[in-house]
Amino acid sequence: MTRGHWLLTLLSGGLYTFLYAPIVVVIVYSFNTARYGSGWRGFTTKWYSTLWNNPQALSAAENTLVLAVASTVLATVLGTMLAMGLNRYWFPAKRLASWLLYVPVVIPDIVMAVAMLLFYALLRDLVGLFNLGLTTMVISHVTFQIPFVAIVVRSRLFGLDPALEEAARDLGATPWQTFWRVTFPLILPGVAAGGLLAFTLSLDDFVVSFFTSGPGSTTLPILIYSSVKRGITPDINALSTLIILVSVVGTVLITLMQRAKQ
Amino acid sequence: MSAHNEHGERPAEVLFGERLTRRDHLRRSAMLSGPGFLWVVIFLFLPLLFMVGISVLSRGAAGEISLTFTWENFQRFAGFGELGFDPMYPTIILRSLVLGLATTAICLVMAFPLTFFIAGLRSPLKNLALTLVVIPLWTNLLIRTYAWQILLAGDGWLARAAAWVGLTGAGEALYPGTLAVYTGMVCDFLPFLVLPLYASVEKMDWSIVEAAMDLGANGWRVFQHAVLPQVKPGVAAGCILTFIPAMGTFVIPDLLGGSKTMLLGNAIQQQFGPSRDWPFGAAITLLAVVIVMLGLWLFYRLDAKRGEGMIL
Amino acid sequence: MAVEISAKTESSAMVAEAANPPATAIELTGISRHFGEVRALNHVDLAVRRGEFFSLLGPSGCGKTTLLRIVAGLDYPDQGTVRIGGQDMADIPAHLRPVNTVFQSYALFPHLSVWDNIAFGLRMKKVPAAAQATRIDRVMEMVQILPLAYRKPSQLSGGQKQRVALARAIVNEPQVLLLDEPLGALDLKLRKQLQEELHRLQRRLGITFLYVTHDQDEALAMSDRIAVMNHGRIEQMDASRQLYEQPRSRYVAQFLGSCNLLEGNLCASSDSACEAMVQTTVGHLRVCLNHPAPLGSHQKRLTLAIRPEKVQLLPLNGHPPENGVRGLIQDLIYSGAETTCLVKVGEWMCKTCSLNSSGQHQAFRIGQEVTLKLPADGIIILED
Repeated sequence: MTRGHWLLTLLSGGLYTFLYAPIVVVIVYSFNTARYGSGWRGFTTKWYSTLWNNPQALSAAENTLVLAVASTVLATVLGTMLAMGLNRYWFPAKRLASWLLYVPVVIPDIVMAVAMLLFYALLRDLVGLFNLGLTTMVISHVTFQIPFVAIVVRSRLFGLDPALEEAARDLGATPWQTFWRVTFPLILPGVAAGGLLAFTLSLDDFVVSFFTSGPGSTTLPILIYSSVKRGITPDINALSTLIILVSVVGTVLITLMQRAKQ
Repeated sequence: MSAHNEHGERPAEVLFGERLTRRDHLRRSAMLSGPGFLWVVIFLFLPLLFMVGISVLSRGAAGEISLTFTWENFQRFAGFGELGFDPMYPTIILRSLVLGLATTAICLVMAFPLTFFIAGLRSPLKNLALTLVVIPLWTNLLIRTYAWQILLAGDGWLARAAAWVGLTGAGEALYPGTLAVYTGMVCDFLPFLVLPLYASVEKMDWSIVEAAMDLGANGWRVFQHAVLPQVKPGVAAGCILTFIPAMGTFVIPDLLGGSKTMLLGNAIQQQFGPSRDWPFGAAITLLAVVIVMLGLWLFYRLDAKRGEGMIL
Repeated sequence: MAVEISAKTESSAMVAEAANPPATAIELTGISRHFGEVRALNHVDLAVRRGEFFSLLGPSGCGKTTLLRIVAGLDYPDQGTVRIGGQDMADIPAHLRPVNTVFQSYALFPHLSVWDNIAFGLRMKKVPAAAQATRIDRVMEMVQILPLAYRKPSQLSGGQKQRVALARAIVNEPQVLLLDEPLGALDLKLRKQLQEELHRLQRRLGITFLYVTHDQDEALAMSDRIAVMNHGRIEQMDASRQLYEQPRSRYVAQFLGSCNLLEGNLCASSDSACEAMVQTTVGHLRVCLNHPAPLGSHQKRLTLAIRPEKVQLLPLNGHPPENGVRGLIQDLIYSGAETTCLVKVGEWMCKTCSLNSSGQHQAFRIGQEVTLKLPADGIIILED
């Protein structure tokens, strides 16, 4: 038993190393003086100041944030409403419809990306709108965010004791008051979780953004991709380190939040 | 007693004290679910339908879509192009399938020890170990992928170690190449398998395992009969979560593989990008959708069968 | 303080009918409800008097909770009318009905503090803040939860949640308080304690209570009247004592307390003397009827019931008394306050029980032959 345990610990240690090797190497190299090659030439923070003075990186950061916020707000509202409707009300072929909702979750993102690219191109030919840019990116992001929000909120609604809303009615609340004073506060954690998931998905998305972006709507993942294609530069490592930092802080915060609730 | 109806076979007559007719249900569904559904239908299902339409059209001289019907796009990736049999696209399809399956299998094998290690830890350590699996998941895939370029570069110590062992020639890079692609894939998708598996292991009834050991079963038999049946749902979920994106990936082979490791994702990207042959791209995309759906269906079928010796 | 509240209830709720307040708080006529193929309620008629503690008693699935929900407006009957305080409720939605409910699961709002939970109803009615505070304080004191005001429901014990749920309902001073198995989730000791408190509270407030329970002891201990329900119908509706001592059907007799059943044929009956002779497997028994009733034809099959505590256990000596039968003691079960004895008379197993303080059982042992006396006025003739 003890021998097995040691073996397990050793194996797991190896796997953690494997998972974290790329993350660590990016962080380490962002402080490496060397511009080219993989040797260590000494500690520096100059790549961070280079980054700060890089207008492309700054505008990409801005685009990423605008895209994530705009799409998340829209998707959270639409997804929450969608979940409410699915949870409470009936319509013909509802099963099929709920099943279709999972399609955006399971299909590979490249399929979604090229389908949208094609669609926008056709619309552009027909009505002259839908030039590729932030707008088309927001539309695309909302499309894959809605199902995620709806699924998370729906599971929260599913776990809600119907007696709570009945109690509100019983105590004199109208259906509208019941929703805002009881239902909504109770599903708020689900809505927040769904929104957070949508936000993260948008921040992380490269493939859909790549195909539906236009000139001037470059996001951070697109910037990283094109830089990597040209050859990795240390300031890209600095940028990636910052993104990693945000992800780590975000993950830890969410984990702590969840634990605080328990 | 409550008239609450979750599955939607029948409209609830009374909901939280409100009497609702079918018409009320339809109206409220339309108001609440309508906008979100319509959005997904217009911007995803409609484009997918267009894709089906375009896949049977042909490419014009300037890369535009010409409105002439043809089956040629489908014949082409089956290997029958204008210039006779060309195994390029059948090879790509096969390679994608193999890569998707192999990645899933390798991740699965790695996920088991890691999951049981985490499950065996005490509470504060356990949460830390779990968070450590979640962090890479939320770290941008591009970053984690291009980092392997640095790690596997020709003058890196990994390449030197490989050369020393005799795996590669001296000074030869481990990337670009198939090995690099597999490394990147497994590293990226491992958390997708660990998390669902962990959720199952957490719920596991250890008394069954103890009973099996008590009855004198050896390690493998305990695993096969007392552990596997209990963690099956997690394994199935994890495999689906890994196989589908692995099949469709284009970033990882694009950054870590050379031209020799082109996959479905890259082929699609090429047709919609540099080659500008959208009808053919649409046909490949449809194929990818079909493979994914087949994969899903297969997973469910195998799962439903409660297979003998089968994991899923 | 309690008097003040009850006075207020009268004045505020009954102002319209002040001249002639209706004597019935709830009147249900011909209520039917089915869910798909399942008939939950089948033509139920019911009238609850004002100020009464009325219980709906029955096993789970008998329709009692559905009936309560229909009164609350959380469900609607397929047929029949609901009147509360004389007013037809057909078009009055749940939030406008002069009733409040204490839910089985308490249904306390988890995101609100105890105080905010109790204030919920008053805020919905737009009661001025100052009046809210006094009313909430008073009710919280009444149910002894003043120190819990700023806790969240998750920080309360089962009993405390129960009190908050009660306070949240009565603070609105409803005409009728509906209670859906409010004590079902509590352990026995706490349940007994809260039963007494609820009973006292109802007396103090003078509010009509409609109480749903499946616990016969609870119903007997608290209610003025009880309706025993079975398969969506009311089997019998009577005062507690009446229900226990004069059950009309096998179902009611067995659901409320335990009882010995005996089949027999009618030999003779006299309407005037209120008595009958019944031939049973253990011999001829004389039965006293407390009200003259036509029992039907000669030789008609009857079911007799006798409560264990009415059966007397006598030693064999002396000459047999009226309605005395010989039996063999099979088992003696000591349970603190009383002892239960199982006596076999031929094929019939009879249960007797008596208080240990009476000393009745002390002289007996298992295997002893005894005489059982089935007093004529303790035997009930059932309708089925």
